[in-house]
Amino acid sequence: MSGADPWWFTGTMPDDASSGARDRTPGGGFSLSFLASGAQQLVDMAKQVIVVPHADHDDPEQHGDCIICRGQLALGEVRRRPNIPDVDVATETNSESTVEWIHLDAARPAASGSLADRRLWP
Amino acid sequence: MLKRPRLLILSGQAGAGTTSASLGLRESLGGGEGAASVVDGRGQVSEIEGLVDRTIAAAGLGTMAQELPRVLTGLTGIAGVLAVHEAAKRGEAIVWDAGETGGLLRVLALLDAARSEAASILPPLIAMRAARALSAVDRAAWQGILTALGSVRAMLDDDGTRVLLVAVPDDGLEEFLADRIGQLSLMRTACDGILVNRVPRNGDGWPESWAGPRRHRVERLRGRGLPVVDIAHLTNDAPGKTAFRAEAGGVLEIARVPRPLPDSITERDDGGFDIHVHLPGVRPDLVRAGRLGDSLVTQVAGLRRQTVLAPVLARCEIQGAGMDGDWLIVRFGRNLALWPEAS
Repeated sequence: MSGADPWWFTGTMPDDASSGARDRTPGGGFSLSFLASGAQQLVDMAKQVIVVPHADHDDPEQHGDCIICRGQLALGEVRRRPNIPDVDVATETNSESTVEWIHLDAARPAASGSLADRRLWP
Repeated sequence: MLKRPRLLILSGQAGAGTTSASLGLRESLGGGEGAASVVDGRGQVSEIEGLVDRTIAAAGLGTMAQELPRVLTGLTGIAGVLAVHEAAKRGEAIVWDAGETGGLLRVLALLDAARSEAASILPPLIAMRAARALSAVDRAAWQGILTALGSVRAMLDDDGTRVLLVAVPDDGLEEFLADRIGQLSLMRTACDGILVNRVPRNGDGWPESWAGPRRHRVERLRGRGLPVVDIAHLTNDAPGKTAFRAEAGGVLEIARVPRPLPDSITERDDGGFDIHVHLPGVRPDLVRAGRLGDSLVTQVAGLRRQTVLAPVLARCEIQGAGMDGDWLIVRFGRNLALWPEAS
């Protein structure tokens, strides 16, 4: 790997591992689907990191570190300007994004032969 | 005979000594089969953040998306994945210093998402726009990242991989382990063993009022049958490398715990459905379940996994849920308003 390369790039593509050939051109085996998949992974990760924690944020003003709450506040500010209908953005959005928690039944002991690992149970 | 681990993933409490443990175990893991690599991606985050930034700009996404790289502190984990992938290509055993367990869990969530077939959110046109605007180097980097994610995901499922939690014997040790073991299970992996660092030995002159409770906590874990390797708190070896090296044999003997089974759906006689989520090792009081739109949210000790419901379940209402042994079972009933053929 030369000094100009990203540290993670080895130059070995899946199809040319034996030769060690390096081809970074768009026509050198690169597919747009790779980037589409990468973008999807970013979105999935964003869902895990951003959307899921946000689901419990009932009041955006209390969560200044949350990117979605900040977006809601900004949007609400714009909509509250003169000649724009006053809409409670936070409430409207949260009705769609709040987790509906389920009351769980009392835990039942594992059936015989279960793989249940209770070593850290009280 | 146990298969010698090829990949040891060390993660734990902040400041518990995962880096010292990784370095101390390196020599022993390499053994007669060649050297072991210690990987740690923490130094490479800025390069990946730059790559993600350029991609978002190339895709023409808005200012909110531009904030993503700064919010996604999990980029450290991507760097670790890339480093593991590279080290594996050299055929060496690997010790992955994955740092604090919260970061490792985020990596596992990413790897799980990478393997899932969740509905696409980003329109393909945006991805194509980004692909055309990015440089060849950046496209190659993306290809490298995607290849690495796939290969490390496969390594996690391999019999030669062990996940070890590193902790110190302070107050709250059992709660920490219950939380983290449960969360690893939620992320479809498991804790194979526990390294308890800085355990004061008898006869080393430690004040008994301080040392006694710490030794007792370790013995309690052992009494519960957990695979524990305790590392001595040495008076003259603050980083602990020597102590870890001395206990390396015990670490290499740790067996692999079975991993959680995939979720499954069964149809009941009354026409409803049950979804079964395997959560071995998870304490029932740490579990919550809920619905968010067309997703099932499963939470263990505050960590959530969001699973897109199968279409048949998306047309159902949740009737109840509960832990049955090591399974979370969520019961669904048909929402007749969404089943016109049933009305």
